[in-house]
Amino acid sequence: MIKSHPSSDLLRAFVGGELPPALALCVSAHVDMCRLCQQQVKAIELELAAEIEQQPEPTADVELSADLSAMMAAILDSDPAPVETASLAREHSKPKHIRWQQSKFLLPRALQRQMCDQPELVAGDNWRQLGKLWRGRLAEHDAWRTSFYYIEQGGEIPEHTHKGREITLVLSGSFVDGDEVYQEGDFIYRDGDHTHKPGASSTEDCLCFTAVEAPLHFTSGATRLLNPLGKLLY
Amino acid sequence: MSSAPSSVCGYTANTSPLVSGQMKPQPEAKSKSPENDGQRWKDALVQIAENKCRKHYAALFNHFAPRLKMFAIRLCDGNEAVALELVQDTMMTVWQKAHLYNAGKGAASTWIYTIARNLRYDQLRKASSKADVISAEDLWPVLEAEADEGRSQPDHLVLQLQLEKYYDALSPAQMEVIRKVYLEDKPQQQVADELNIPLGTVKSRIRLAVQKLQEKIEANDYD
Repeated sequence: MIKSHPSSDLLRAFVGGELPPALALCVSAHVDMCRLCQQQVKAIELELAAEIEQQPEPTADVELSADLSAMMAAILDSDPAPVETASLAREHSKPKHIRWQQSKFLLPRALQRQMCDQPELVAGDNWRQLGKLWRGRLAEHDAWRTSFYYIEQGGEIPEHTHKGREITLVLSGSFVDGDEVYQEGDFIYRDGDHTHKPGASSTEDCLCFTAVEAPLHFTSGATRLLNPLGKLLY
Repeated sequence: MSSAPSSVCGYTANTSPLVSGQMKPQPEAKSKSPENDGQRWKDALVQIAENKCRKHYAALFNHFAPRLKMFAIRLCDGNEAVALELVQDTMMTVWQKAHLYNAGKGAASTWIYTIARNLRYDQLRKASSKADVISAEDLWPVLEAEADEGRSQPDHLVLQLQLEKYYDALSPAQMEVIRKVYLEDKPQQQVADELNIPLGTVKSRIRLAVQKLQEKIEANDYD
């Protein structure tokens, strides 16, 4: 059962279209996996949509201003929308799974759509290995980067802190951060003040999707030598 | 293919019942008779979708466009020209894509809002110097042609290995169809063509195979 959800403020900002794309993608993928948040999103959409109706009554409901009447006439005279065969074909060719060695994982809808032009990522090829950890980069978006992580059981990311926000969405297996164990569908939001050393559980591999705002900064002992690695992981 | 039955999959998320009463339904938009109004615009969208009814569209436009314009001006930080463009694109989408509206999923005003929100997001995305690849439809499937491809599906992330041990329960013919449809992601029609069998046979083999897998998995749970 999913226990870690986006906060209601975050969901509201998501529905309102106010989040940076990489963060919105994580929320969208979580919502794909979470019926509870699907219901929340619906409720917030209803609420935000009500604002349209709550606009002060236009002067006369029967008569449109000149610009709007012209607009309506233009719309009614417009040609039927072209059938978007290209985007339909793309929709049908999108990969639904990501592969990792012998395993295959179904992706949330929002992530499927990002994978169309990424055959190597989909096939699990050319992922960068760091011990028991592999990273497949999805994309860079302004200050954000999005990646998949595959962590073998017992593997962990060295303790680090963040200069920005870090979102982790567990796609499969168990993800451990401190005393908390997160499962499939859990959405974990960390801001710049949080120092942690997350990893897979000792008994199960873990696949997750992350969006990170700025390079990780390693904080403890010899791993500080890894700080250039922070850039790599980010 | 999109209708991969949830029963085959090793899903764990979303199987627990929702806590009832946790989500309070929000009141419909305030108006003199909200229910009637809501139904009226739903019906109008259906008329537009089915008959390209100009009369219903005009009524809907008269109601929504002026309100949407005021709303859009706020959304576009007071820029009236950009706001009008947003209203035009939104109302055009309503006219052309009314057939994608699903009355069972919500009020007409909510659908129109989500279209405007998506268009605004894409407007900003394209205007930004580093245009992002993530489009509004990726984030909020509002106009997806196959409604069943949207969010409504229960989600289940399959660890393929978990299933493999059950495959020996299937006959070779069933396994062949399952492999092509579920593991190679081929459309059912294509599988029918490749195997030179009718589509109906593909469907029935899938159904039987899924049923068998389900029985095996359930039996295993009691071991």
